Amino acid sequence: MTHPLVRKLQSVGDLAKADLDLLEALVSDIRDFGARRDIIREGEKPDHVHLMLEGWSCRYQVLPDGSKQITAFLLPGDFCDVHVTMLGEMDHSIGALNAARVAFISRDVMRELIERPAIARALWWASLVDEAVLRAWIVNFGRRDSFERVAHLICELYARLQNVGLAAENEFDLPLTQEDLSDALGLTPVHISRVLKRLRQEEMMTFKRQQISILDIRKLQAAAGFDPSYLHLAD
Amino acid sequence: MICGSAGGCDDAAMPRFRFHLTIGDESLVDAQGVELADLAAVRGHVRNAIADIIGDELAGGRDSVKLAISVSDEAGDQVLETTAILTCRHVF
Repeated sequence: MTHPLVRKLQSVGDLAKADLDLLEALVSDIRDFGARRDIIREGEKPDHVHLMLEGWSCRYQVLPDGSKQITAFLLPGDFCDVHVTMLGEMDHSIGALNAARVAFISRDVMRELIERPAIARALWWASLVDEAVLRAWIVNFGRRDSFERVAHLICELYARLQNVGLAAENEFDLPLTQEDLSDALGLTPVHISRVLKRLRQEEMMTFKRQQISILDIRKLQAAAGFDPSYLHLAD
Repeated sequence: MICGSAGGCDDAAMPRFRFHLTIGDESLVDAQGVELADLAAVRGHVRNAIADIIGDELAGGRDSVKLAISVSDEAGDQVLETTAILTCRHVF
């Protein structure tokens, strides 16, 4: 079965059979992580690059007072730490949010991969999209109110999950607590709870038992000021 | 647990507190709660929540906000209640 990284990179452009074979062969060393377990921690110097195959994880940093900031959500098909092949040391941690299956790819294999022009281009594309998402998050924190911020994140996750075939029509699993949302959006859980109630009252979406139901995607996108072009998804 | 420490995690669970909000006629019961180290952290959390909510109300054009946050521990006993009232008077 095609793994999610191949699906994601193929959406950017055609890859030759030799490239596809190499990508498929990546996932020989697969390890499982329980929910709420660290995959890799800040300061570590990993020998492997980690690729999400199943489940969700997040990039996060812990502040001296113990509070946490989530800086990205990683979905199947996302590399956790492709930059460590160049930078050497993790400057943040990555934790599994639910049961996750992760491929461990050696640095040598990664070097081999990036010597193939089509794969290097596709990985560069994926890295640029990650940067675009980070820019969108900065705008979200800096210039949107709490209602727009939550709505924007939900629109983004829905679009990304649709792209890797993990969202149904107007529904998807969101293995996050209100505390996770607050750590990602810089709001308190009390406030997140109030915003979620308002989104439900305004008939845009509901969040119940870790499942999002989108009631009116156009209304939700309009409320968030969401334009998916920064995700650079295939049409 | 996800803790971010390269030296390893302290797996000892922190107590969980629930933050119940009343704002105007609206009430919100906190079903999930938040794990916090102690009552000092609870007070800090309440202050942040009040700042968040009042900021949003002001940005939404409201000049008057009254809200209360009642915090209960795992046994359901109230450990803190904070009320905040904001009134803006404009002099033209």
